[in-house]
Amino acid sequence: MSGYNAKLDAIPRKGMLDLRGDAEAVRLCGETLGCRFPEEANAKIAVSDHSALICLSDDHWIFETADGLQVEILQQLELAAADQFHSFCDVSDMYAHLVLSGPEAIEVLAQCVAIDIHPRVFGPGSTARCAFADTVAQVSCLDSSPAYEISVLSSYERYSIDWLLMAIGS
Amino acid sequence: MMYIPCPHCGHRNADEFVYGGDSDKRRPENPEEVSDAGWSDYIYSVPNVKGVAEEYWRHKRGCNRWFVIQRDSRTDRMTQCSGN
Amino acid sequence: MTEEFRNPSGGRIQRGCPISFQFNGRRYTGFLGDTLASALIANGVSVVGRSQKYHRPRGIMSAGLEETNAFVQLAGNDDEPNRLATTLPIHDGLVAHSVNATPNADFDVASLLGFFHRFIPAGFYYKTFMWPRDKWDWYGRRIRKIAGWGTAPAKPEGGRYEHRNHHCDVLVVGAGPAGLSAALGAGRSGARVLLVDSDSEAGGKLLSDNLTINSRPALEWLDNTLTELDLMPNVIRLSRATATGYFTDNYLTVLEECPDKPWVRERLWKVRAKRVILATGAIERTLLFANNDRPGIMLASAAMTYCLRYGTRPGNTAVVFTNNNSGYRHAIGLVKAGVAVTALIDTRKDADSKLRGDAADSGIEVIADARVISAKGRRRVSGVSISVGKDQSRRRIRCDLLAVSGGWNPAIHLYSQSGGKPIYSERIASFVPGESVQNERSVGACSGDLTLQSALAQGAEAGREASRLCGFTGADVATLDCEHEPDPCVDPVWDCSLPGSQSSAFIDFNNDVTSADIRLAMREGYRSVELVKRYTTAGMGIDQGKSSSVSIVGLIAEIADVEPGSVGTTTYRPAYTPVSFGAMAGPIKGRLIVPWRRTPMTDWFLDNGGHLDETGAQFRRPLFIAKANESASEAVQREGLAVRNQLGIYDSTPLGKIIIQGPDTVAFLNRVYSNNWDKLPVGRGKFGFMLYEDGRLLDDGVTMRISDTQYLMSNSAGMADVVLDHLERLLHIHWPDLKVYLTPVTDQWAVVCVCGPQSRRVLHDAGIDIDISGEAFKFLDTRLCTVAGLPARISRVTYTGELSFEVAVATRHGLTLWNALIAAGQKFDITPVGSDTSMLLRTEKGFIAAGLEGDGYADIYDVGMGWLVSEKKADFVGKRSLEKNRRSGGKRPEVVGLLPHDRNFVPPKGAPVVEYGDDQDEPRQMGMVTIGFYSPNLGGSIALAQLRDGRSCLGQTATIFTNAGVETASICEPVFIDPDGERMRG
Repeated sequence: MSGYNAKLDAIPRKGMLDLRGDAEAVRLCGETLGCRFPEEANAKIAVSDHSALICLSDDHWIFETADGLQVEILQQLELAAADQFHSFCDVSDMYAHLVLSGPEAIEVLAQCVAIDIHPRVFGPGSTARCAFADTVAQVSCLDSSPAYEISVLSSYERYSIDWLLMAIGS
Repeated sequence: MMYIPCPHCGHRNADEFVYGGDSDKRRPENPEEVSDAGWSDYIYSVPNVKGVAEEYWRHKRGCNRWFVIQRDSRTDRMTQCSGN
Repeated sequence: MTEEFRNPSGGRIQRGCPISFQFNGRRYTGFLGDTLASALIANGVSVVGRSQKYHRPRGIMSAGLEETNAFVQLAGNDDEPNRLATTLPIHDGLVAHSVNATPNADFDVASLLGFFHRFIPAGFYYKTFMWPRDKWDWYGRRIRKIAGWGTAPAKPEGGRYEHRNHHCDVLVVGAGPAGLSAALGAGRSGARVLLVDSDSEAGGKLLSDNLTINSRPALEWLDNTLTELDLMPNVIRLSRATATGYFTDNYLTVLEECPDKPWVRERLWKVRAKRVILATGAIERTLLFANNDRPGIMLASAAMTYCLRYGTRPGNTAVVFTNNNSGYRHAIGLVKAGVAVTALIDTRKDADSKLRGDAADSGIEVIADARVISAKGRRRVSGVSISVGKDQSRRRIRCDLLAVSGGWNPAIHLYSQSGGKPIYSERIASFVPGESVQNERSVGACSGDLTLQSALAQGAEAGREASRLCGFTGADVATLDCEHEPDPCVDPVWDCSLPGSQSSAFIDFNNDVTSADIRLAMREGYRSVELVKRYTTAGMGIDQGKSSSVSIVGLIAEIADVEPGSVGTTTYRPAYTPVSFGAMAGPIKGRLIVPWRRTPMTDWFLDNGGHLDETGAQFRRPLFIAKANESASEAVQREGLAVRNQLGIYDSTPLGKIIIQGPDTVAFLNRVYSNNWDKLPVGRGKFGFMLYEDGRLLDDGVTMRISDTQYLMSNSAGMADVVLDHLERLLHIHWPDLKVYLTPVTDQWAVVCVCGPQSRRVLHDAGIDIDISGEAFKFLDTRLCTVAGLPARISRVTYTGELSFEVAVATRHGLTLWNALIAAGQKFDITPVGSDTSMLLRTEKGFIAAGLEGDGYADIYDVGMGWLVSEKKADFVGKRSLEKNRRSGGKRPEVVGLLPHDRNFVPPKGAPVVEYGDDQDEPRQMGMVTIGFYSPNLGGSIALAQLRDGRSCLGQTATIFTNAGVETASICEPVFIDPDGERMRG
């Protein structure tokens, strides 16, 4: 037996916030974070050098930062949007994050997701929430080595690892 | 496999979605005022058009939003209608 | 032993690499590059198998996927049935056998059936073996032994299969001249191209002919083109990759046998292409005459292929039989390859004079206006009998090879699968693609244009157009010149056999269907092509009628005296060629077939005797946690006792949790729950029931108000996803104006439940920083706190009816919390509890389960939860149906308890409960048992049941039917322990 030239790593938790809000709530949050919330689904912007904001749909975002930093940010956002229609939740423990990297990472990922991951259309900075094996994942292209980050619900972590190891074929 | 145009995420494979029935099916504002026959009709009957129907789809393994699509039941050709 | 029929030179085989293999127990040699078929031909093997029904000796008929005779069983490590010898590359150690032949292909006992063929025409089994009726089983077993094709492998498959999802701008199917031109045109523009070809080498018909391009051998163009394509980073070219299906929205499957990675046995590509170019070529068809299935009779183009591509001679003395102009090209080609072609039989009177001249120059006698009416020979053709001219004078000609060219059928299978309707072309007497339904285009021979010139030009144009439509600037592909090829001028002759010999003129070799069978079907009234196909099984074999389907249509048309176009084709369905189950299943095996969701405690359960199983929403949870040598029921009984007497601990993590927030939250809760949510204070929870719109019970659970603005809804684990879907649907489709957000947070929290009389004490001992006494922390209260040093939320909810606390911590702390409580609980003999025990405990308390007691028949009132229905609310989801269903009257299936008179008898779930009327022999069903247990806490058996008008039968005796006999029980209130709920509220 042999396998694809790719490896899988589990990376530590991130501080994550699930942010939902109407236009006014979102505007106020943007002021607090110092950025404009992206409006296009599956767009990802850097908020600082360790924070990012992913747009999932027209009123739903995921904020990512270093684990622990989200607590204070959550308080600030709650304060800013207090009178607006919103729902902010700390979901740092809800997701597990895996990184698939290596020269043949694309051949492995192509077995697990059905979206177009060709470097031309899914290069570094791209992200998408899509079907992953029999579950759903946030898939992001980290760099062109290539390396991909795959975030799944915590309860699916072991299943996802098993699937990816099977796809690598080691 | 159908390639469904989600208004937020673009085209995705049909196995990311859940079908939600005809868009005509709106829950009556005041069910207590609807007759028994009318209520049964709302719950159980399905238009089943041969041709273009407007229907709900939800992008469950994606943005998770509901939206309306026009689908020609003869060819399964889909065109975007509106995002909800 | 020696390869008698191998030419000393020529062919694309690698003569420096000899290979030895076995066929039907004998050893042979061949070369790398040979297929099993070409190697057998080189060795002069003519009988390769036996036909399906009559077990007639059969030989190799074609050189490709359209093969109908040469199926082999691979033995040894390759154990696999029904591989085509014509596409199977040989390798050292290959061991193959014919299928369907006992004891072997050379002498097959079942061929005696041939003598009875008059009695077993098409459809014979509909009319025979009917009597006596009870013998059908016996007949069936005997018929099954004679029929059938190959043996299923005995060992489990060890190979690895892969699925690859692929997107491209242009998918080109077929790497013959048309496909290669298309790939070149599209590839040069920079578009992402996937080019697939089912053969082991690209080139298509260029490999089997001596064509020229720009006055140079076409093979040069082939080499240059492949070199250029293989250097383009935007082009992927696959060989031995067959496009097997064309689905909705330009989604195609491609089966790659022998992929680039040696550990992958087969790879199934799932391709989404913006544009598809079909360059699948055309398949030659045979002609009908008596005994047209003898070994040594093959398609003329196949004979050419064996000569030019494989350097063999399929025979020494050949006759060519044709109804179109390509027969001439084949005949001349055979002569050049060293086969003596004595005669060319042409059904047409006025063949092209230049072609006749060329044939004569090659020493071939052209006999025009003539037909082969029968072939001679049995194990190998030895000659033909022909009929010439209007007066039908007879002649016999000797030969050991009969090459038949009956016309060309464009391979329109994928086009048809795409939804297109084929149309009949009189020019080539076959079907061609009609209008495109999807973003595809057919080019080259598969579009009906059979010349090399048009293949190159159409391919190039299609490649340019496709890349342009994908947003690339179309690249230039130079126009190429080829030698002139005449129009085919096909004579639509569908049956050359004479009346009286039609039952040995085979139209479908694979299923042994003859001209006589088709005529029989039509005489019996089966006149549409679908019915003829199904009645005779023509076109339904492994080859799926690749070379016979058009002939079948043509013959039907001739018999019915209509145009073939009006007969039409049957529906082409995927897969184009057989796909292995391994390829379809892909890599998913064993544990990965269904996702297994885990909690932070899953490993602890696996290490400590937990018996895990699926319990809904893809979680696998412990049903019970057994000590050494404990049976399942012993474990459940022990756990059940522990919870009510001491202390149990339970992993509640899989229960669904949803954060609900927004100004309209209370209004929303009022609409989806049956009860009223107006006045829930912060820090309190409320039990509620949700119904489906049609009145059935959906789910019950506790929703807590955890802040002024936030509510936390809890759902049963198995229904978590269903409830979320239900609620989101209501919000987004029906109530888009309600300002409510739902955020599922099930995976954010690990939840541990301690239940039983000692549950307060274990929390104190583990460390908790708030007052959880009965006065300070009431039943259904919820509060933030610290437990065992971890930030937590603690709530008083119960599923067991005991004093019970749920502690929720962030997932990362779940196992820490669990271990801390287990440690602190040692002095109370803390007992981990599983789902089966949970079910026992809830039964003792009569807590109903939506889906068991609350199935589609019993509504919320029937299950005794009517107190949860708010009279004040004009509407909530399910209310309208609830009223409507009740109004229709009739007796209601009400939930009651059963106490069996035999305290050891446990009523089985689903057992019917009956009552006897005045006539003691006629029991009527009153209802059924919904759950039964032996209760350790009561020391006897209990059950819950749904009974018609159950509540008015309290105190009476019910009779329960089981497989073992009849038992009686007292009907009682559906609660057996602590009916006032004092323990859980303590």
